[in-house]
Amino acid sequence: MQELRDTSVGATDHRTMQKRLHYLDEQNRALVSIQDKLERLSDFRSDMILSHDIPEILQSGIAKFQELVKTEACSVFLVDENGFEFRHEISIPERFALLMEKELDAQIMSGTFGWIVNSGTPACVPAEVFGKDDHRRLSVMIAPLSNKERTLGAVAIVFEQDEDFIRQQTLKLLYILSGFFSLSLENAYLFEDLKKSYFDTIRAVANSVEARDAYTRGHSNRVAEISKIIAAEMGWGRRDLEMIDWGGVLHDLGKVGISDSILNKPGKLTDEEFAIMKSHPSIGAQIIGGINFLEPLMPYIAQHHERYDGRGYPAGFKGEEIAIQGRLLAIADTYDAMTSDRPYRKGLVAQIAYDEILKCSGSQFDPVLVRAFAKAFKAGKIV
Amino acid sequence: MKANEIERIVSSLDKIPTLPVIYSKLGKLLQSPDTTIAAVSNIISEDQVIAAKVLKFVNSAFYGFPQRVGSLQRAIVILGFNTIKNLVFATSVFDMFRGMETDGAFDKKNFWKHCIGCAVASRVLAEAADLRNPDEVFTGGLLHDIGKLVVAVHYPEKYSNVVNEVQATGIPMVAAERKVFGYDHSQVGSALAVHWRFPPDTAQMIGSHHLSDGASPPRKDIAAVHIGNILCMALGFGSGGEKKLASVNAKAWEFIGLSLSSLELVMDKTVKLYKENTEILEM
Amino acid sequence: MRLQGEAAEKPVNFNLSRTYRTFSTMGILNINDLKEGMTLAADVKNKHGNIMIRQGMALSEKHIMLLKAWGIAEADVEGFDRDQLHEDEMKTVSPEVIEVIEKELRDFFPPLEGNEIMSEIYRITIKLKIKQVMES
Repeated sequence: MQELRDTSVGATDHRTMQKRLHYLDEQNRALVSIQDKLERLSDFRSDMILSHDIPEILQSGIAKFQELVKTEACSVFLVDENGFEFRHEISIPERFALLMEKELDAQIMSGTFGWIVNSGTPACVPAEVFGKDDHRRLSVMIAPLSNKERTLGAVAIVFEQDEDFIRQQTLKLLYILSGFFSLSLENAYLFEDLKKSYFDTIRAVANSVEARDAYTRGHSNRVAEISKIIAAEMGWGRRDLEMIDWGGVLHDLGKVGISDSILNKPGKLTDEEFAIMKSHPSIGAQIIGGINFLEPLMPYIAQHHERYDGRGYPAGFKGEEIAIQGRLLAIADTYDAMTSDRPYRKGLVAQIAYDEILKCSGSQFDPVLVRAFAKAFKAGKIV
Repeated sequence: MKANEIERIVSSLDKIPTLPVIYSKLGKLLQSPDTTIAAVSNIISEDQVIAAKVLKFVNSAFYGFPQRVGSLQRAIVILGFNTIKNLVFATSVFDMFRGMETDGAFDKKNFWKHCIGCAVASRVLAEAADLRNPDEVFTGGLLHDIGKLVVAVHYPEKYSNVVNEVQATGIPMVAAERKVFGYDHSQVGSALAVHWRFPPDTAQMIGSHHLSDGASPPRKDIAAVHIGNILCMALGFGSGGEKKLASVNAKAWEFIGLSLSSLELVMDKTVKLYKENTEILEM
Repeated sequence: MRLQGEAAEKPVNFNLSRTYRTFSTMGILNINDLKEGMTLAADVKNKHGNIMIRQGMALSEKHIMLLKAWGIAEADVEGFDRDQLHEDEMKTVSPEVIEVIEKELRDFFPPLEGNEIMSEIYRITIKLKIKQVMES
């Protein structure tokens, strides 16, 4: 700091100037620090709030916490489905998971946790279990995650800090961060609820198509289940599993347009009747095409009767031209059709149906997918 | 009486003590985000009496923390800077006013009992109504009648007239005050609060706690102090000088959003906490 | 309950039982006094009004931990009937004392007719004052 030497200015003015400079200096430093924190906070915000995926939210949330505040460990506990038990969801570093659970239990027993949940504000208390064998003094900050109506869970952060040196800033930051967390979680939950109701409605519609016919009832649900199993065997991720699930439920939606006399005809279909039957994949795709949410499923539904060798319908696509989901649904659909009773024949035994599928590998079905199917079947996953 | 006239009167009052230095020091300190807990705790500890009272408050049933809070640092870390700041404010201002010399006619003891009673009742209401600033409501309740004290100290004779008028006719204090002085204690209290730069919410609670029949409170915390005042009078904690109990303003009750059935729990809690609070504030 | 301008012709016990009917302190124990095996006499709700444990449930260690986790301060438990004790204790307060309390309060309070809020405050005040007398 420069000392001002102006002989025309009195000594008191000197001191005042120095004081002011000092003050400005401090303010500047504080502002720079806040600016830095704000920038990092906004990173935090965009990462978290844009996601609907709960594990992703938790993961990135905790990682960000650790960037902003040096923590020993950070864990998130979420309230389970019935709404009352706090379950450990995630800890970083992972190896502290058990310890953090014990810490939470201890805080619950001492009544501190309950106090925090009830009052709705975070608090810092000495760690009771964590760091017991450590000579360091570790504190744990527990922040409730909640919105106005319900408590969603809690975040527990362990840090090594002599409470004397905890800064106002740190506590405020943690308060804000837990707020963001709550917001994102609530969002994600709402989104999931919405998705679930939405899909339940769709499932009801799809099932109504089958309600006309005792033989096909449950077919779509079974196709969905089998498809999911094969997809899991292929190592597909959550989102894709979800999509194939929906694809399975909706694949025969197009049959709503086909008359009973054709659908339930006990004998063989005439060429004309068969042509009408063959239109159901396209009809189904068209029906859902109007719904924004379900648009991605269009190809799967349209193509579930295509054959790997190109001799399927309606378009006659070949091999990789067919969407992989369409190829997958084809296997599940055929397998279930074979094993269930039909107006014109009884269901085949599982083993025989299995053999048939394998026989058609490369012709009707994609060999890679058939291998996955076989693996799952042999592991007893497909009933 | 117009607002600036009251302001003039207030600024001419000379027997008002100065705002405790600890409060402004704390305020300055809390402006910096880099402030450590140790620094805050040290400032508060400069006044041992205040520090001790704050700690007693923290350990009281108001906060209900399951374990005993042994140090100021721990208190700050558990309850947060804001709560501690409010507690320091309440205790230091209370002490400051208590030090004012009043003449024999002013029933100081009952006055303060009434103030504490109102503080407790208002706070319990604030918590029941899930307001976000129960500690500020406590302070508002504690200081709601401060105008009475200040006026009584400066104009003891006129003030006696007010008291006698109320006893004889049963009209409310504010009516008698207006008759004798031309203004009432809530106006004075509000002007004082502004003069001392109290937090604006607190100033409003002091200024608006007497709601006339048709009026509706602009905020829930004001409603809380209004109702708390009546509750503590009903329960007989000290005396506000009134001969007749005023009725709770219906709009205030509606506004605060509590059910009639929760009133019993609120009053029960108030009775229990009143005793604890008078001990802490050393009445 | 109309209270103003009425002579004390009603039996005193009638007043008291009316006063005590809605408020039951039967068996409400602090969370720290709850033991495994105790049976709940009423639903335990959290602060949002959601029922956490239903009436009639026998408390297990897990239940107690759950309540603690949610900051529930107390629960109504069967087998601890303080209402009966209250009734007996109440008889120790003489009706004259109660008369005095009531009169003082009635003079202080505004007219209660049609005033729900003040009537309720009155009722509770009487009750608490009687309790105070009992405890001294």
